[in-house]
Amino acid sequence: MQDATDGELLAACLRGEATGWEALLDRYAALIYSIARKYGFNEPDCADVFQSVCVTLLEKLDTVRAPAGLAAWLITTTSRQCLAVLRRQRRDQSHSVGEEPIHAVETLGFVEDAAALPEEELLALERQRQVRFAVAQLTPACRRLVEGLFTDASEQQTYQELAAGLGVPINSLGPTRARCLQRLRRLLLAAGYMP
Amino acid sequence: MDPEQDYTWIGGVRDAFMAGDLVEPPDWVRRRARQLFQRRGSSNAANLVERVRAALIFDSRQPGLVPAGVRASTIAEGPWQLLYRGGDVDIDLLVRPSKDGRTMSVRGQALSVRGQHIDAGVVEALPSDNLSPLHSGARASARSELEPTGEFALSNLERGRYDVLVRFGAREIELSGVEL
Repeated sequence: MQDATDGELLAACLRGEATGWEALLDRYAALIYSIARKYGFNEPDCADVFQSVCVTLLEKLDTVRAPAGLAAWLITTTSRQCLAVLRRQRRDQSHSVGEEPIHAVETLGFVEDAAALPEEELLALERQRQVRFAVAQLTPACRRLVEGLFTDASEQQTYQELAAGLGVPINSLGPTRARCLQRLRRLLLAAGYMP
Repeated sequence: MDPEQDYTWIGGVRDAFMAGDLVEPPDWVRRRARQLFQRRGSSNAANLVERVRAALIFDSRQPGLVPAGVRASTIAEGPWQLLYRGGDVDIDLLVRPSKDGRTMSVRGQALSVRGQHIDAGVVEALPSDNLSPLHSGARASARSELEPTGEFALSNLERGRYDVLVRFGAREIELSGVEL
């Protein structure tokens, strides 16, 4: 299921296949949850946002556009749900201090404009998800090599250590690296990755 | 791609890989989402608008410690009371061991804290962490109608941990991991 497209996973869910749903959760759970965390919610509120988005996705399985549309749909749906939670929190706070609800519309509009996460932050989360997913789709050897290259400079292995870890001669590390990065590039392009 | 662009591209991918902003949800959140799909075929999930996870706010076995996140760890012999709050609904449970010592009965009542009417509905108890076979949905260990008074009764439950789902109108309130 890891290599299936989003469209194939949605189709599997529509056929009642739980493995399709599991694969969608594997692919997108961190993105949904991380958007809620970016809004500063506590764990129960993040969990409620997550659950609401999953409920909505199940209700809309046959109308979500794929393959390019699912990530964008999830980002939009999650953001809307987060803003709904914010509105509810602000409304509860205003009632508790006795503010007149007559101004609620103006107040709620302010919540939408001021509290919404910048689009670039949302896109940055999606880029992170795309890269992690693409790395996970590499062969085990390529994945080890790419993860070795992408670690923090202080933890980076020498080429000798990398080659030893991969079980390849050090003079073949360069072509192996090039091949793996080329494979990663193709996976990211197929996923619509925009740097 | 020329080497300069290539280096820039790799650097961007590396930065995205290293950013660390992505956080996986806790296991219980994933489990609850998994159960959504399992129950989808057996419930009117498509009509549900709001799902809330209730919080335990009182346990008569450890009355002073629930706010600190401490649950009773011992198996009580006599009846005990649990109070949950899910959104604006309080759910009161009275757990009573049966005479056979093996099963439990739960009498409960759902009450709106705002004094609003609770629609008739249904209450189900499902074993926690139940992984149902594909296509069959989760089977409730016990089921009760939710009376217009908000009262319900679940009987003959084996000792264990249950997720109690209280459904009425367009709402579902989940009491997760109720220890019986």
